[in-house]
Amino acid sequence: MSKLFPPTLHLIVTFVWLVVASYLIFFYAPQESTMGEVQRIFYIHVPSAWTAMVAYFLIFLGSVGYLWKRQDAADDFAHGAAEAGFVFCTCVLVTGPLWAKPVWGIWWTWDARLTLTFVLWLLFVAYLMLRSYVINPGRAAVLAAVVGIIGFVDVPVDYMAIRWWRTQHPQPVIAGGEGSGLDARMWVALLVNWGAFLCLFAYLMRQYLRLAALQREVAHLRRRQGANFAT
Amino acid sequence: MCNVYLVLAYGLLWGIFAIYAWVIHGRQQRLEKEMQELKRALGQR
Repeated sequence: MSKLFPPTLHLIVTFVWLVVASYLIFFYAPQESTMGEVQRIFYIHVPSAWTAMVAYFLIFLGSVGYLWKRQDAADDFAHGAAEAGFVFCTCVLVTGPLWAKPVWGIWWTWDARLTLTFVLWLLFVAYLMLRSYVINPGRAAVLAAVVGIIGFVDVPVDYMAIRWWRTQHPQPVIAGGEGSGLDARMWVALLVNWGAFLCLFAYLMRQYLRLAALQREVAHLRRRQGANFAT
Repeated sequence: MCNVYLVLAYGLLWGIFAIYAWVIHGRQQRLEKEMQELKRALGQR
């Protein structure tokens, strides 16, 4: 992977993609008729939410893989997805209220969608806190994997919340059935932004995996140094 | 184009990404430095 698509090239592609995506938000996508300019938050809020959900799905896969095979690579994969996913989920919780205030007149309400997204953010926090506070790395990996698997229940319920229950959060405009939908240019802006966010997410995960490899190398060298002192 | 909520949302989004990138870069730098020191102590190149 590193030879075919080196990290520097990945960073350049991500940067260019994000610049194009930003151009589409501000200069290509049409202005929404009822909300006006503030609706453009949609193009960063929704892709952040989808990326956070993809991240939790990757945590789930990595956690299942780790509990099944006990391979460090699966654990690193889940941990990397958790760190990057936490960043995107935080973006959802920051951009959402900034869109809600001018449109609904309130920053926040405890409806099903908002509450379940907040629970998703807490699950990312719980996963990362477990990694930080449990001293034994093997035990931390197992406990985090359990959180990663059980917590995944939140993702489909969060996604379906606006379809199952009446919420303050708007009903789905994407895959929402009859009467829902987007202007073709809005679709382009949305999908290009989501692609850019996924590219950034993949880059952040790669950086985490490099960090994890460094941590293992340092731990190995420390053990060797300890052994040298002992003899 | 100059909606304050839009500018704030967009700015905070990039602020959050930048903070995480800075944090992970710092962690990598510290580990690389520690690795070099350990290698030196162990007599490796």
